[in-house]
Amino acid sequence: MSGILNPEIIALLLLDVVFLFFGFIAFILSLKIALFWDSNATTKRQYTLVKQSYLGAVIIKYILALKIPLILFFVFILDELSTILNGAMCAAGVINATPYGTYLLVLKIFNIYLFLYWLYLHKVDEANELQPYTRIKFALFSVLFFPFLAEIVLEFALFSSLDVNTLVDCCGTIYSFASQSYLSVVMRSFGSSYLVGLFYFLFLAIIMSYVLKKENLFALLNLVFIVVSLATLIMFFGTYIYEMPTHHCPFCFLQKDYNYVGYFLYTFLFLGTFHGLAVAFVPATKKMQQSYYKTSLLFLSLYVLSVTFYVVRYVLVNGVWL
Amino acid sequence: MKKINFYLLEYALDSLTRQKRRNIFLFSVLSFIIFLLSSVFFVRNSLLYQFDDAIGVMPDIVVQQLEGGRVVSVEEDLADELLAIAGVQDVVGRVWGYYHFFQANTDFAIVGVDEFEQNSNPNFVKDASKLQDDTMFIGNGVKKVLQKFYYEKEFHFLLPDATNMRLKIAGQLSKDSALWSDDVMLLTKESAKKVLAIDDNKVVDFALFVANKKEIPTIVAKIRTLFPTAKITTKENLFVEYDKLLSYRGGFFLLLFVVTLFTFFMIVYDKVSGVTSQEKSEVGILKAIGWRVNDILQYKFYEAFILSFFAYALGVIGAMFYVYSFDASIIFDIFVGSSQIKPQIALPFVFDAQTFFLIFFMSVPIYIAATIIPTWRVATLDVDELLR
Repeated sequence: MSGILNPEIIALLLLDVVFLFFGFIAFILSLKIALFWDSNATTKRQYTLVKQSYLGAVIIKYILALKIPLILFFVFILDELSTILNGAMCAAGVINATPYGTYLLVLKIFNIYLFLYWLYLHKVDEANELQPYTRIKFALFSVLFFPFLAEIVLEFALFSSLDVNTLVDCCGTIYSFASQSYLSVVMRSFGSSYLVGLFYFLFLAIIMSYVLKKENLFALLNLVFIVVSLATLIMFFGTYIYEMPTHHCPFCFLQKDYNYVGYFLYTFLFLGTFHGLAVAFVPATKKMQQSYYKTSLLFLSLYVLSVTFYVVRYVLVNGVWL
Repeated sequence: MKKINFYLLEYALDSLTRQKRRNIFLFSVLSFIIFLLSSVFFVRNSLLYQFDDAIGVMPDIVVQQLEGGRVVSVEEDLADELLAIAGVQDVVGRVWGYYHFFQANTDFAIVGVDEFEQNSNPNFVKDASKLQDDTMFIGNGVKKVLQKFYYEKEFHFLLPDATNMRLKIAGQLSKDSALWSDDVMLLTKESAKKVLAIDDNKVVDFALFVANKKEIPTIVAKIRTLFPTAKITTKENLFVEYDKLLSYRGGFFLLLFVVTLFTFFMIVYDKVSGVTSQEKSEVGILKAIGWRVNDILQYKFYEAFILSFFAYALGVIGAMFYVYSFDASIIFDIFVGSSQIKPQIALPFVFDAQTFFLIFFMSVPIYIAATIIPTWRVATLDVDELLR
């Protein structure tokens, strides 16, 4: 038995099939709308397209509404699977058990950013009686369908090639500084103290650009912040969560032993940076933009406070730095 | 984010009650499907939990000798070599096997124990101290089978050399570990060897107990150099195998179940598509008084969500009663098989959030998905068409 006939995996794949079916319908509709939409026309085709745009929007909203809880469920399942894979101790082992895992996870997160961006664009579009962005948003979905399709294909590939009898690496090997993975090479070339400095500097810079109302700068800094905060989380903050200088793993703190804190951290980071990017990319009204700014800052601050809390607590309790 | 529109919610509730017959039908079918699905997973969780519980006292490593893929008995003296490995706390030569009771066409598990050895099952320890060479303890399932054949006080084993051996039934094994002891006959090692036709100086396999669990992989490696052909099973292997087996059975059931879900999807699609004229004029009036397409889609979504969510709740709660109060009488067989001797156990209650999510993802989104297209069809019809 190479693949695993596991109920959770079957559930995920079943929903993938549903997504594929509806996603394809939405894709066809989007393509038609993107090509032929003309809000001034009074032709029969335009009337049909208006009707179909509702269906397209409903389907995309349906997929998004499920994708968000499903990605948490997905990570949770990877964690669970680590108990039956030899050598794996957390999701990192399962992800690296097949060549597809890393790409799948990155693609999933990337897709959530894009789907949510679509939803925000849709909201702005609906709020305006002229619906100026209808064509753009459906054109966007026609493109977005392909990474979405790739995600589903990768998910099938991942679960069908998962072999319970092979030995996989645990996160200790994958994220160790001694190993030759590209990640660790990058990490060694920067010192962790520089990166941590950069992390806090970026956070301050983001606040500054809010004060100065530089929306493009704000979004750009948020983009850099995603990378830097993930790097520092693995290199520096993670070790304080585990209270162990050698444990660099972005997955273990999703487990019960660390009170599932990872789910909160990643949610904060996602919501913060997403709204940060939305400030520049969503053509919203001033009022909505204000709320994006505020949401972004709120969640980024929550993220920074939470990771800082672990460091401060460790230093206060033990009196030394790791 | 937009907040929930309670007026729309109220309207959706009212609208649900207006289409009573159709909705009650869909509701009960969906509840039943969810009920079946949840029962299977609850049983799986309980069994896994019970196994996890029982595995704590099991030996850390089991060493067996295979010949032609079958376990063969080995010299008892080899225990000394195993005991000499650093880190091994205790080695017990185990005597066990199966006795085929052909009158009932069933097998009893024969377990031989000594009074003073470290034992895998704490319930056996208590009974082992009372065992004598001419007595035995039997599990609940064994007792029922024997009673059918009027073996109330004693039992006659038919040995492989076609002679008889008589043992008195001293009592019944405790019920707490029914899953493990239901088909067990507990004998002294001496008499167990006679029943299983094992030589006096041999045992079936060795159970090793290790003080420091972290040393288990190293000890396994050492045993492998000592006995290259031996089959070595650790506690962890055992748990993984069991987990895989239960997942496999659950998964197999689910795979068949997907067909049911698909059928259900079609039924919902069909039922929701068959809009009555009353419903049509309702939507027509709503649109005429100024509801947008989005409002109608939203209230229809509320309707579908309320219906499927309550069906989900009812199905899950019903399954809880069925599994934990009535011990899941039929579904249980999927997991434990259906031999003559069926363990009568009370499944322990396990709360596993993951299972609830799993069942949710397999029911509510499927139902809502089935309503998307029919709903959109009605909502985008023109008013004059609707009111005609």
